[in-house]
Amino acid sequence: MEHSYIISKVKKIFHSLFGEHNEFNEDTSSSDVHGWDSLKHVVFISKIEEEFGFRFSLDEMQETTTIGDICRIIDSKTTL
Amino acid sequence: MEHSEKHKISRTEKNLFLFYHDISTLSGISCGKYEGLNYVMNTAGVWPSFILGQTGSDVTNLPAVSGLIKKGVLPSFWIRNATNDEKFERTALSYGIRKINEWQGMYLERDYQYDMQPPDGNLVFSEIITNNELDSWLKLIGTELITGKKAHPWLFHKLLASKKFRFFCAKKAGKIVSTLLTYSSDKITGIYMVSTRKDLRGKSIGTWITKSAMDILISEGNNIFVLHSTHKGLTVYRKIGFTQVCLFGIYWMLEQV
Repeated sequence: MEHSYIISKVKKIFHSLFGEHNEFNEDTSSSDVHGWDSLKHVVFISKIEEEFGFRFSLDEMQETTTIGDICRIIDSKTTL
Repeated sequence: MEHSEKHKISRTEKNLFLFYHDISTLSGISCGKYEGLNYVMNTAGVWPSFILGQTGSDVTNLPAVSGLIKKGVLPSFWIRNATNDEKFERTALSYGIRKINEWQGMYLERDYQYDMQPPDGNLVFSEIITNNELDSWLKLIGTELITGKKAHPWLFHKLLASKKFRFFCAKKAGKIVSTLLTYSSDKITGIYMVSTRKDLRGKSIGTWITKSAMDILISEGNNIFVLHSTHKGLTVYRKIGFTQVCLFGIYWMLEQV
């Protein structure tokens, strides 16, 4: 799966959850975004799972704190 | 004499439940039971409502429990003392209930003090006595531990007035830089809300405040301690002497908050 495709899908989910006003790039982390708390993180991950059709493990869910982390996991799960 | 593993587990679980139960009761919210599961309904800010416990028929109960969560009768969080319960996890997921975290249940019996020296000569350990001090304590909690949620001062003032809850802090240049809360019930003390200001982390302040608070409690005759740690805190608590006795899974039905 193309990295740019992954980024565009994640961006869409990110903006629908946290608002268009929030800057989006691979360095954006939970501490930069108002409202990206531990529960919203679970919702964010769940929506990504629905979009890409796989599940994050508990460790993966807890270790991801930036957009880049999330995209790397999607990359690894969708590249065979 | 050390208590059996079963006792340690039940004490670790009981303190956690009573902690939340008493907070809910003090905040004027009722608690209840459903098919052997206790639950607390807490609308007072920082702590979520949740179901605590497990029964042999958890998996069988899942359709009913998930239905009641959807209707708002039961809370959407569920804390279960269950290690690697794959069957439950799989079935729960099919009802939209997902494991979102794990806490290690930790236990320690100790009857002599640590007498640890402060890691920095400018640090002062003290117990919070007034509501004004507690408000400063809460400010640190609000920035370092529960960011994104609002702590309700009125509830914490009530906790301070209750003998079961005790608040401790470390101060540097007169400012609170580390926090800790203890909850004692049935001669078992739980350690909660340990936090340290970001710029001072990694300097053993958390270890020192925990040992210092435990020293006070030990001097008063309390010698059973429990806590519930995320993976990040495990090393610190093991060094203090705690051992892992169980694992709590934290489950959440998404879209119900």
